[in-house]
Amino acid sequence: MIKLKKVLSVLLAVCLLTVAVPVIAASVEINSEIATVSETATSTTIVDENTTWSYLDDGTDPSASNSNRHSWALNSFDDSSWKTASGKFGSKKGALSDLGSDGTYVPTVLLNLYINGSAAPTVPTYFFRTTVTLEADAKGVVNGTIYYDDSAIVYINGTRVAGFYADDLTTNLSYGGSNGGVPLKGEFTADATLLKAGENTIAVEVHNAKNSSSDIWFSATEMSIDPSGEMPKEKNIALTMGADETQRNITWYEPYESSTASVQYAVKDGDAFPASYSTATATVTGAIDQGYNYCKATLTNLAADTDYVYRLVNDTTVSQIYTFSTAQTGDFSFIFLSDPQIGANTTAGAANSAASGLADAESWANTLNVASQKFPDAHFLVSGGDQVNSGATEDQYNYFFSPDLSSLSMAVVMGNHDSVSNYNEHFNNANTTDYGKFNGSVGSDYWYVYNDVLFLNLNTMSQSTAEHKAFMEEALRQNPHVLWRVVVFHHSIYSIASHSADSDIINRRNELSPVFTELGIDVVLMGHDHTYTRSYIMKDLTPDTTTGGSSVTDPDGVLYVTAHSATGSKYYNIINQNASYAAVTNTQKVPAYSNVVVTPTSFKISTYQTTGAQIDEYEIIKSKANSLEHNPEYVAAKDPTCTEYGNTAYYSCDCNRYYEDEACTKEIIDKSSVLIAPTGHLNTTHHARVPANCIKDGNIEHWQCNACNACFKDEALTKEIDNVIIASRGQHSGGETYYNNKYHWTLCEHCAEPYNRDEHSADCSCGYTQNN
Amino acid sequence: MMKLKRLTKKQCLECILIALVLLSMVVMVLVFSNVNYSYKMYDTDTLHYVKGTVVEVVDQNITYSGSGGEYITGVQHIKVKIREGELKGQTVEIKNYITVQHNIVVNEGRRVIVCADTPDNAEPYFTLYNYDRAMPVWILAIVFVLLVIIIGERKGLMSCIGLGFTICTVICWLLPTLYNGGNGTLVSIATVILSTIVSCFCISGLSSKTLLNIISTTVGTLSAGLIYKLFSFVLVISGASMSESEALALISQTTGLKLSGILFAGVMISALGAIMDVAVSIGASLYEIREHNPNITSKELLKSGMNIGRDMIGTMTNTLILAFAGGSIAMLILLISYGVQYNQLISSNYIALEVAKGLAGSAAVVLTVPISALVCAFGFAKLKTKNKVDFKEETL
Repeated sequence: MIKLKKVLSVLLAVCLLTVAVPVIAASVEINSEIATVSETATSTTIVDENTTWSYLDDGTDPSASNSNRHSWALNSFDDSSWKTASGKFGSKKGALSDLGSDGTYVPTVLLNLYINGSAAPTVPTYFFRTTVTLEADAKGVVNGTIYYDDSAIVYINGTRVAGFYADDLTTNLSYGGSNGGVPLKGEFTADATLLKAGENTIAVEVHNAKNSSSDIWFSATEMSIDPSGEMPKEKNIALTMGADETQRNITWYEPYESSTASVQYAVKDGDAFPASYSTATATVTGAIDQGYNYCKATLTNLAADTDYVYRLVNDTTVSQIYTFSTAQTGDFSFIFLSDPQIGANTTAGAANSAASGLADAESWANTLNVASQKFPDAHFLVSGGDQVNSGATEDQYNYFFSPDLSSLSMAVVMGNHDSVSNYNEHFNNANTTDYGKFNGSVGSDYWYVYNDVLFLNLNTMSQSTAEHKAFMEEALRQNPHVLWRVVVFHHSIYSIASHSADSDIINRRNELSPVFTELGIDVVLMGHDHTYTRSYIMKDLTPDTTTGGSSVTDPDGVLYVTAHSATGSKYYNIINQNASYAAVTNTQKVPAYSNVVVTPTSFKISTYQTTGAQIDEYEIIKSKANSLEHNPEYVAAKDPTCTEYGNTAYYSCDCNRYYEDEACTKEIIDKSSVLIAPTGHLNTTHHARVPANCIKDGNIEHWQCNACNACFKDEALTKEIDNVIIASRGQHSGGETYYNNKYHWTLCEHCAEPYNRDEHSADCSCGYTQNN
Repeated sequence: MMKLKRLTKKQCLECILIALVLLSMVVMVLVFSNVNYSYKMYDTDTLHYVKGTVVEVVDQNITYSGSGGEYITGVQHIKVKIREGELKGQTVEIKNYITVQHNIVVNEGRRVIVCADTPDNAEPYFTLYNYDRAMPVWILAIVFVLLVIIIGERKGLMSCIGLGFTICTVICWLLPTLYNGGNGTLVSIATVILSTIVSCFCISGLSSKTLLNIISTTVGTLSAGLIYKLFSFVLVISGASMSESEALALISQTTGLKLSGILFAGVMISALGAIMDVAVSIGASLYEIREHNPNITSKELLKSGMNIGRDMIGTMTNTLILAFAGGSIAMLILLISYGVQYNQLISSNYIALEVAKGLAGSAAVVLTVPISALVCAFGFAKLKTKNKVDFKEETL
């Protein structure tokens, strides 16, 4: 029995003590990477795992000066004093220990981690060189794979061909990079013509992230020449809406090692690129999509109704010619859709797999084709978010841009699926603000004006209604007079599928609806729920159920439209089919898009399935178009009363703003400042209590305002009462009757006042007789 | 005298173990408060849910409709005094829109939770989140604990400690571990075993009964896991079948959260209670039988155990299935309104999941009857022959 007790206690104690271990283990992140290396029969391997490298790991700079810092990578550089070795170079805290946890990253050649050999600071940079001898000049491309920790730059004969987390590496001895756990894989494709007959030098510099880094790694698993390979081209061109219709913002990804880039653009004139063109300088930044830089520029002064050509230029390369067109001013139309969510498809393969991405990309291309064929005049595309399923998976962006979008102007918002910083890199939005940033930096609220229509784009990954409200107020202040006010964001607040009951959606619905009503928003375009829902005209949170037909004129409220899935990559269960706010819904599992036609007096949204059928059409009509000028109305001064506000004189414009002057140049920012507070009850009269009698009303004690006659129970005037009257009984009654020789009367039994006083009549019954 | 001394020694050990249990709860809470969640669904940094009191309903416009006036809509213009945080003491005006989903009608003096959206770069925005329910929730919880302690006395207190430990393990360890991509199967098995050991120990102290209860409960719960794995294979259920899988998949992209692990953990945790109930009941019954008849053979004990268990099967299977039915009345009513057809319903994710979860748990409860009867019959019998006198002295 004692044994049993012991077993039991030990068991208990061991279990309790082990609780802490798994808790700590739970925070370890798990990374999995699938590597695929394809080889062709004709490729020539120039570097592999057995290649011998000369290396420098003493913390010194091999180049003489920073202005010529790459000179150490030239073929002519003398590295005879460097150490040589082959294998996996690295160090973990100064030893040949595993940088990971499963034995994959155990170095075979120890690098000197610390400058003094034993403690921080670490050696900032390690330099590696190897010589490749070729019989003839190389053609095609070099495909390479290296592993590095924490950042690296690769050179062929002194020309930089690849950089990994290399943006911070401004000098040969800079610290910089990712400082993640295990070494990262870096793949690159370089121009093989850099390799000439004879001796060539391939050089790699690897940097520590900081002077306290605990590990370093470099290994080159393969570099080979593919003579038939081609250099990758620029990709993922996104032509997004500029601040207004005369501008376009552009983003593109380029694989070249170039520090500068620009867009050359001109009015189209024949097939050749015109000799005279405008140039928009781009910012060039290393992309999360390793091996690429993302470049952003703004094309300005675009004329209406014009065909343009443009090409993308960097230090060494000029791209093919791309085209786009601007549309005429005035009336316009655009395509609205949402949630392409490339990669969400699970019928073709597991979500986020290549198969699901490919299937969704085909569907995406089909939707764009169908829409552009049916509505070739649409000026641009608006997407309600979730462009991809996994925002950190660059392959899905590759699929998103796989139908060539280089000619399509578009405006996107961020959804919950693409809410990582990759979004910032892919889209160059106009008039971005500090409002609505997710996690402090991802996406933001932004606005643009197109042909006098204001588009307010909210990043609803931020749940701060205060920020969204402030953003819209600022944008409206800058654009007080527009024809229509359109809001676009992802998380639909008036949909009917499974998201419509999410607690965050219900909160947003309660918070945002009154704000849209207050700010006079006309239409709100949303996504997220993958089911088409058109709301009634909503005033705050109340639907006007008379507005469910096919049009409405001068509505008092906001129309909310939730887009269907643009690709059919995914659908949700319908849980709220008969929601009180839903006027028209479509729950068929067929992708859909909307064509929106905008004129000064009409906003018509027609929604079609990609198979051709129209599922809804609705038109908001304004009997009088918004004025694009100020349109003030004089409001005369008014004195306040005891209880009601008065005001100073001002001009009220139909843009919902107040001005001091008729020209509307001096805005009264604080609208409440025109108000004059009620005076309160200044002079009152005290009425003492007067009791009622049988026929005359009395009153209770009260104080009455001399100006407005309001009555109060107390002298402090806090308890207002409507009725101060103490009602009389209305009549005398009862009592004994008396008489004299002419009259008889009765004394009221309640108040002893005489009543029914009358002269005697012939048949008087009062008891008096003349004979008496 | 001898007996007393021994009991004291055992009690000492028990006290130490209970102290260890309490200590481990503190450790778990401390570790839990420092767990780093690498993914968040929305940015809510500027939102603060703070306590407040309604000081005035300035005006209101409310419509009662629907049968029994349950359907309330309208708007209240209210003033709320904030009772905590940076804005403590301030009175803010709020327009409280009342809809079906936000059915919060307040009166003067009502304690509420205000959502104060206070970014640095914009005017604060206030909305009424809900009634302040913290106080009643805690009061109800305390009433429950008091009830358990008053009626259960020392054992009641011990049950509460056991319950506390289980809750701690699930919230402070199971949840963060799953969230950050831990292996759902291993984590939930570990949780089940840990909480079984501690709960059984708390129920019957250091005794042979406890050990046998632990064995039968663990085997029973593991069988629930096995049966669930079998069911989910036959029904083709994966983590993606859950209605929450959409949002969960987003988390998993960042943290490596495994959806199937969540389902498995759910089955194990929800089955644990009923299985422990059966195992402990049978264990206690057989223990009592053997107490009154020390010479009973293990075969006879097994027979009694099975007989007792058969009666329990009737009620216990009801327990789990009724718990499901009770919990899903609203859903079932909606399903009727959708005009759901038989083929649609029987093959829906919803039913498949509920069947797998409910039936796996119930089947394991049934299996626990023979498991527990076997374990206890042979366990008690073996102990008896080994050291009968000593064992008797030890009993509580």
